[in-house]
Amino acid sequence: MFINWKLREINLKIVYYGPALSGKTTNLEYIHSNLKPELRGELISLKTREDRTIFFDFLQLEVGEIKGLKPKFNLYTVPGQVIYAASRKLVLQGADGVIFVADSQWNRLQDNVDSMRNLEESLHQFGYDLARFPLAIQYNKRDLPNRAPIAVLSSRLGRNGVPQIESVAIRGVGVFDTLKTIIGVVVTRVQREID
Amino acid sequence: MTSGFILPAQQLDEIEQHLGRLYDKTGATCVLLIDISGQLISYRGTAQGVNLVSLAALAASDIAAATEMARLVGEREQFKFLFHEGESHNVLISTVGISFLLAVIFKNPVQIGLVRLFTKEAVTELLEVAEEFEGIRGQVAQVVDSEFTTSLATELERAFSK
Repeated sequence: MFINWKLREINLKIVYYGPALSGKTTNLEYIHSNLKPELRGELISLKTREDRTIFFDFLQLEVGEIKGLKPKFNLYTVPGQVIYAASRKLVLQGADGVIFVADSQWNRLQDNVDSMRNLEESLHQFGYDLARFPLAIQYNKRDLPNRAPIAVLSSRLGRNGVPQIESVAIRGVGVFDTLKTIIGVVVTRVQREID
Repeated sequence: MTSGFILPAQQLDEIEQHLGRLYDKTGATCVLLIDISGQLISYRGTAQGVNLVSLAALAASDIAAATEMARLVGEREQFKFLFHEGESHNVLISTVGISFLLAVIFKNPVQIGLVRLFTKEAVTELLEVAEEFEGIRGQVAQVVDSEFTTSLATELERAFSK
């Protein structure tokens, strides 16, 4: 969180994390194309020629002023492919909260678990404990026939008190809910730390 | 990470003075101070048509990638400068301690040597200011209270409802 008194801005960094092709970029693309242009910036995507994220996607959005301060949210995705582990870690730097985008399909269950472990390790290297880090889990692709039940996904990925949201990101279902949820978690955490 | 920091107006004024001096001395198009998470803190110069928020995010990632490369090749320190040379536009990025970086956008015929020299000077000055405001945490309480949280939820609803 970065508060700039002169510019009257409060900035948060939110990172979309998760295995390859789980829908992280799709979340950002939906947000970008469904927000009023005056509320969002340009969507920056560092992609390979095959349209896969090589470093990150970036989108800034802002909402109306609160108590004289303008909240701004910097949204990033990480590259999901296993080979880009180093890049993933770099994008996490300075994050205030993480949205873990899980792929609900049965055949991706282990990839989700591996990615969550990878997230835990990266946070640990920055000196943070995933159990106490602002996190929301989005179970994406809930429209696909080979989806695993939420109970199964939750038992493998869920954590005590971590909000879980079902989504079909390509149609926008659950996309804004997830973002609202993580922002709420981050802000509540800041308050709790202060109290 | 979640600790964040607050930049009081007085420190920002100081930063802007340093950036202004660097801008004047080098004849650069734009100079930007960015934090390592990619957050644009302040800038000086002409920014018409340039998306500085995105530029800040990219510059921070650039430095992060270079720092990782330094580690892989066995360099003990992080790389201090990155230089991108184009036909007409150039960008020099320098680390400012471990938490900030400075990006200078300049056009030909501004000399790289000159930009490098004055950037180095500015980094030393900025480091002193940066130390003052890093990790000032308590004041967040004045901002992020329950009223703020409720209002933010309302604003998010408004922004996300089509």
